[in-house]
Amino acid sequence: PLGTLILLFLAGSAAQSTIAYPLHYFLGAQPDFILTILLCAGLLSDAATGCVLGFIGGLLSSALVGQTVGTLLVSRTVAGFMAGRFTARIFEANTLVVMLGVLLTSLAASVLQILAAPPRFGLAFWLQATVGGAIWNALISIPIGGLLRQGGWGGPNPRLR
Amino acid sequence: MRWGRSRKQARLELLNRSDFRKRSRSRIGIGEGDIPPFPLLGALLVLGIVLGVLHNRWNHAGHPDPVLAVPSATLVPAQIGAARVQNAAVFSWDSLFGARRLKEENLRLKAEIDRLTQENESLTVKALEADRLREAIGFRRKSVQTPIAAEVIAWLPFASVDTITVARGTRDGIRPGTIVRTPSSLVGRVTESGLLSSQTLLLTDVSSEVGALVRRGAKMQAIGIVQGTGRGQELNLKHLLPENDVKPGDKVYTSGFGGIVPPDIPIGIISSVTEDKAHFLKTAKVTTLTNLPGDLREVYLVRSNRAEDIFAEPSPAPSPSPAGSLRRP
Repeated sequence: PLGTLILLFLAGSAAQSTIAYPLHYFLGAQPDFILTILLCAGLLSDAATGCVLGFIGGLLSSALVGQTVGTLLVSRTVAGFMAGRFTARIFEANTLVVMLGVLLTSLAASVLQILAAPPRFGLAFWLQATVGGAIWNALISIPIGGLLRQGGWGGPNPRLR
Repeated sequence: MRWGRSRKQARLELLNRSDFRKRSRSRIGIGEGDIPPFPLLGALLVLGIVLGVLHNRWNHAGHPDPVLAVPSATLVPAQIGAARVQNAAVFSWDSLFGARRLKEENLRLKAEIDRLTQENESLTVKALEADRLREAIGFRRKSVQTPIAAEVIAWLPFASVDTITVARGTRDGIRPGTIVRTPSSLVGRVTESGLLSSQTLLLTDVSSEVGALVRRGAKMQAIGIVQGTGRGQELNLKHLLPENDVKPGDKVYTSGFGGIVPPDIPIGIISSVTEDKAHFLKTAKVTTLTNLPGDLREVYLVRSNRAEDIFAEPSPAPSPSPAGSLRRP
């Protein structure tokens, strides 16, 4: 499972560097591959794992962009934690729940980001980028979630049995 | 009865299977029983804030961030691989479906080469003459540094900040503040350097500002400050005086007055001028010469702020990559 996650993080970082920008022509926003991977892994594990993965994802995103390091670390850590709580406490993780979880926690991560750093191009642009980005993330969570399950992530949650 | 037995058996089988699944494939993770999640979250948040503050301090002091150096160096090989695959894909697409456009571009470039060859000959004569005059009046000949060619390996990974990543880092002597350009225009400046790669803030980012001057032919028309807008190829030229004679079509170059960016690097062309009568100022919209970041495949890094650097012969690119390009619609 750890090997699958490391490979996915590497592939996600490479995709974020190259294909994320051209994808903004659709929906007017671009997906966040690293955030989606950490959220999917968080949703398929627990809150403690989610926040550790969130921190690692924040470090990777910071290494890619080289700016707003504190904001990225904090928002990703909290988003990973929320993802872990989402299915460890409330729902059993299936594909639809993972999609919904990624959508909601992506939105939460964006809100946390603007609390730390106000939007630079006005609220309308921020809303478009946030909602479009969250929809992208929910869509790409289907293959990412599937790959994580294939790699051994997921399984029934003892708390919900 | 067969039906009754079957239902009972099926139920038992289902229970057994569920129990087996539960035992054999429990949820992966640290486990909330092992480490309490809230204290862990608190500790990571504090660590995140501390790292953010330290990063800003290191950045202001012009030092690379040692914490980000490890993930940054780890990601570079994957980024280079992905960038080359993408370039090859774009190149193949262009070769297959862009034959007519490539033919037209080829003809245009041939004409451009002829024109530049003539211009180069005349400039070489003028440069030799300038050198002779410098020596005659006792000016010291300034050293010429070679700009470093770098491959672009990431294009705007996050929409909130206009950045690209280049495959040159502190190992090649690149530090924050290094100027990034193409042969034809200014691109931006390095804001963060890792061992193997550097992040460049593009001219189009809202936090980018550079001293500029406007020229029509050889005559200087005005000076001002160019600022990014974060919206495609559009830049703002601000702090122009009402009496400045500036009109669409005028060319904008770096002024070099700040001492950080070398002078005379082309920035863009003025597309419109607006007069702010209330504040006795003029502003102009400037369109960049290069499609940022879509057309960037290789760039040059200018390490010092001396004007001579930008006229030196560029070093060859570290590795050839297809000349394809991504274009904004």
